[in-house]
Amino acid sequence: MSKPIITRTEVHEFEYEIRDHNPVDFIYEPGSVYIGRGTALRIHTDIGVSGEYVTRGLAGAPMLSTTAPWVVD
Amino acid sequence: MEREKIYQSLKLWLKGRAWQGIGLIDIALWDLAGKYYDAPIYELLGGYRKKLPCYASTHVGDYIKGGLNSPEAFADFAQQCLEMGYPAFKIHEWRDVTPKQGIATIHAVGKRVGGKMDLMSDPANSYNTFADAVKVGRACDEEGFFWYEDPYLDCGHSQFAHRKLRQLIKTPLLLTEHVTSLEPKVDFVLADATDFLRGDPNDGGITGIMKLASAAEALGIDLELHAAGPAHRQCMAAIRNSNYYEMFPVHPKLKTLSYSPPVYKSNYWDGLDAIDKDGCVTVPEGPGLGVEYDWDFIMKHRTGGAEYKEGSAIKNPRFGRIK
Repeated sequence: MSKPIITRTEVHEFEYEIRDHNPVDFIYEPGSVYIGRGTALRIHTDIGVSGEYVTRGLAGAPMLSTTAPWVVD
Repeated sequence: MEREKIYQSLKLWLKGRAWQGIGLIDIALWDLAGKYYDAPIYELLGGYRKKLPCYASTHVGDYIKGGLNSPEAFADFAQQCLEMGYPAFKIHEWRDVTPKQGIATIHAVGKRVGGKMDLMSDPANSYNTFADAVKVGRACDEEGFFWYEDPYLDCGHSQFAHRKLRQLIKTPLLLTEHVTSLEPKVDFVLADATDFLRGDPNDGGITGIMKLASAAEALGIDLELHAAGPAHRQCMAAIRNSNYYEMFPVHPKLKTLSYSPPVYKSNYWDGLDAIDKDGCVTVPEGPGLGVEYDWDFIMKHRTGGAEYKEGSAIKNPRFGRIK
């Protein structure tokens, strides 16, 4: 197999509903609905194989705007 | 992919400012490597642990009827988790916890299930003073707690204070969740300020966690991973010196980890009922992280982001990859 070359990276921020849980204080809060935020990352290569990771929170997103372009070969 | 070179280069560049800028990319690169070699990440790491013992790591205490609203409510939930098969239970006390409340909770849980499961206390830096931390730590001593974690408002940063605390109580301390990057975490151990090391793949990536695990092993101590997820499972499967997978946050009224995004198409989940009868979870066996993401959901709920191709990066030779 040839060594893959990174051709493209994608960073996505997305929202989802969090029910019955206060995500700020990490407490049970029946009936509540909060907007959760997540970060999704996809790294593409020239051979069609891609790497993915999705996690809650946007803490990494600001730095990904710097580092995600940097890993493209 | 030269993950190690990318890791070292980004470390040089970011210098600890934001390790999630390294961690998330590193995990995606490991997922890529696993798919390239058609193997789960833990196999690439030489892993061998197929079942990971879990601890029930509670929501923060609340004041809601039927919730974790009293020392007895925490004891009831610990009993429930023991009966479900959990070998360990960690209390997250109230955000406004007083030492009196915390001590009562430690005794209530210790009296109910002590000796039958490992017990931990994680006030999440909620106590105001060092003296509060000492008082509550002595209650942990009386109940034989397995560890005592991030007790007070120094936010887990002071090596001096935690060395003093270790001298005043017997319960092992678990610090360094809030200490960023490899070297300062190890310095915490060398300063006699913690008994366990703490790390999260989201901060520093799988590469960073495996370095931390090796550092802990070289010092003869254990690394405990923070929080739950497929990257955590893949790492822990390849780490001998790690005791428990953190099933966090669990609550008697909630089956799933409600704060986690619903992004798995594959049959992967974390939650109170995710354990087997022995209190363990398994490690995903598919290539890479071993999970399939629901990209339709992600893209349908997308609020921002960007795509980068060749030429998108800042062309500053100072920030090139290391030689």
